[in-house]
Amino acid sequence: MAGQSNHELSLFSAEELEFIAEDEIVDIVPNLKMGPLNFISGDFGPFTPQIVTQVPLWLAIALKKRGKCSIRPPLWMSVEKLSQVLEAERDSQEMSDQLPFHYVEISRLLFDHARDNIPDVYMVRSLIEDIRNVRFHKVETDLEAFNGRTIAVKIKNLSAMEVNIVRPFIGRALQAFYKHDSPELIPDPERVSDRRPQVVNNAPRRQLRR
Amino acid sequence: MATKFSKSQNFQGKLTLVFFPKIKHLPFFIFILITSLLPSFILISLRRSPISYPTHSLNNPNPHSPITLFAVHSVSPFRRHDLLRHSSVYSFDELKRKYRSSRQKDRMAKYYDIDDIIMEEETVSVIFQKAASGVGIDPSSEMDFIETGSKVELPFWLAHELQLRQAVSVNVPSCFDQKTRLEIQADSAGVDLRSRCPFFYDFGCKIAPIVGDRTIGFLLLSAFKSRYKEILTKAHSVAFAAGSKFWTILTKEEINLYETAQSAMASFKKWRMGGPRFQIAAVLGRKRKSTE
Repeated sequence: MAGQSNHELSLFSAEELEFIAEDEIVDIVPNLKMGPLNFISGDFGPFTPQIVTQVPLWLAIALKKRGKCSIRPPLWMSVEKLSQVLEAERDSQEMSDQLPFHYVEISRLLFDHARDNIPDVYMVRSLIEDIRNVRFHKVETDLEAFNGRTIAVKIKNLSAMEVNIVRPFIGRALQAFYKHDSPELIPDPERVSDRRPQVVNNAPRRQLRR
Repeated sequence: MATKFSKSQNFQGKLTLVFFPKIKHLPFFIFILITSLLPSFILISLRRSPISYPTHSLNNPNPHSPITLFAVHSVSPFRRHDLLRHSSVYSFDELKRKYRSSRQKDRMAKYYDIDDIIMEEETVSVIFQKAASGVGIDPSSEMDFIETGSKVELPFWLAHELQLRQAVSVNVPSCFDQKTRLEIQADSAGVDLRSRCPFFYDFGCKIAPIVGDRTIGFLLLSAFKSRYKEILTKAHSVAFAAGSKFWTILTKEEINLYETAQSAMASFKKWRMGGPRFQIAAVLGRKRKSTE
């Protein structure tokens, strides 16, 4: 699935990613009484005042805008949890796996529409910003390791927004490396000897079962 | 008149009645027929007569006969048409068209690539292995004749095409000379490649098999490897977006890379900062002008 905003780079725009992230499920505390809603993606509700229920983020925001519910911030979105994550990110070169795939988009949506439901909103916001910066710096150091032999990159636990930012750059860089390292341009005697001789398979061929 | 013929008249009689009602009109009819066909007879006989165009070709096996190149704009349109159909004579335009259409299929994707076209205008210096006449390449030259062994600057597409016919031999362009190599080895990130050749990498890839220089490939790869790191560190930080000196030394390919990273980062920043959630199309906000 590619974004519609830029055909050439097959790049999602940030808004498209936000749209995708709105399908994530959040907890809300409604203050209205309403029967269950039957959507293609599933049934949500029934809504009873002060009873916690789970809805997609877009529905939660729509209800919140009308003052019909309060959104419970996700578990990871607390000062203690985020400080832990930040520590973990700073300590190791690996990306931590404690944040959801869409943490950048979800946090932005909640900051925009439900700031009164998030405790310590300024602290949370700056923590998330720090985490994002640290993680992005790690991505850049990973990318520095590129050379002509690189054919793919593997970075664990990268989030949707982070991968979207570096995608066009990585794609073009890999393409350029591939082009300049093509064997017709560089007939490399070392590499030929480098390549391991194919292991000759001496095992007798297995008879195919009829 | 046509209604007056009797039933005994045969079918041919009907026909003749239709075209010339009376037999005395027959000479007129024949006269008109001949005069109307005369121009085409003349044309046909003209076509048959041998046209004395030079038949020396680039493919001519005789190495001593000079090759002939025509600049198309110097001949009249009528002759140009015939010349172009005359397969052994090439005009510049024809050569270029032939060259572009003879590229392999994987390169066809680049047929309309404006960067590719500009890159092929890059001049290379060649040495003519055959004498060539009818060449007005250098406007300051007194005669339109090039002797064997003369050194001429030609655009890449022409040099390549002539090289395929063994009419010229291509020299290594100046942007891949020893001086540049030493500079790249010393401090690749600081070398101003753009002023040497704006399409350094693409041009290098194309010229390497033609001049038969194996080391160009290594040069390109090592230059790109180290310059890539420089681009990477600067690409995703918006601070560098404001015009710095860094820009000016990048080749076109590197700028493309740099700009994709910059634009991805900029669009993310824009989204994060917020701003108008719903954008109104420019057409909608405009007020209609009164037509009075």
